[in-house]
Amino acid sequence: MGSLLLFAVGLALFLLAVLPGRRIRYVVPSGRAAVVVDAEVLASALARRARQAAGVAPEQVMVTVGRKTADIQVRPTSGIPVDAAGVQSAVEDDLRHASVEPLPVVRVRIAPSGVIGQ
Amino acid sequence: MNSTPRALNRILLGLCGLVLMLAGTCGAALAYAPGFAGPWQASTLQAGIQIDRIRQGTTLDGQSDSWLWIVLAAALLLVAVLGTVWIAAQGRGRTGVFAYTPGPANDDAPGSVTLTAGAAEQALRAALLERNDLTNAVVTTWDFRGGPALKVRLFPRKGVSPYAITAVTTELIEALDLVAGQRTPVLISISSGARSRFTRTERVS
Repeated sequence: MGSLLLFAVGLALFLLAVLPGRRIRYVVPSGRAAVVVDAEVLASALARRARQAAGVAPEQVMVTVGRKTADIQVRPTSGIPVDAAGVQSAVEDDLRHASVEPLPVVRVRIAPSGVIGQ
Repeated sequence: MNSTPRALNRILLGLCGLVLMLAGTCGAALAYAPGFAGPWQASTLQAGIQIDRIRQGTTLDGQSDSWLWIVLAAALLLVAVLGTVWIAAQGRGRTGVFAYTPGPANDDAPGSVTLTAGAAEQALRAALLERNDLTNAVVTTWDFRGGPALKVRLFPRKGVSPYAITAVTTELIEALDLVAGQRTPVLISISSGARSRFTRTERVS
């Protein structure tokens, strides 16, 4: 039992050494400076854009930005449909404008059930 | 940007992991694989005999113990010193000089000009903190490829476009270039801190 624990700790250390770092960062090209952006900052900017495009409250949008993907989850207000393609193109437009590298793939998911009273 | 020995750290971490994995595998094999115990016992016996032989070979006449112990102590001391050096090498590289110009070679006007890092850092930080879309900005100066370089850490409010902040900061840096008379390498790192997570969203832009 102890030896298995030892092996697990060793494996964890080895993977830490070999795998890339955990903090996901994107590069913004700039003529003057080297610019890196945390995925979290990018996610909050995209969330704002998605919220404007969908016309919902900030609490109804959740954005997760990974190494190569940007997942956008929208919970529409009950009775008011949300245009997924519109959200998608708005977010992609924002990403292109910011020209982050590598350009993440945008996936928009609209929740089947809406929320009331937002 | 700091001079942390990243490659060395990774190699040390990987080696530690490999050693632990090897020890764990051996232990597990001894416990659960019956065929492994026999050869293991034979080889450890052989190794014990070898070590005994070396110990006897290195014991001087009239001494009770091998001089290898002294060598071992010295080696461990060396390891301890190297470990201290390794700890001290983490995260270094900040510098206090932003720009330095030696005086002219002829003796007309002796003297040199030094801009300390604080001057550039405070100027840039003050300009950045005037903006509403940033909760905080930290500017530091580092040694980078033989010269000074600026690292600008920006903490924007929620929902602020990183592109817009980059454009503004670049303008400020170009103004600083004009004032200082030199183009310093700059790293802009935009991250989210606790304050950007909990403060209100910037609504007007």
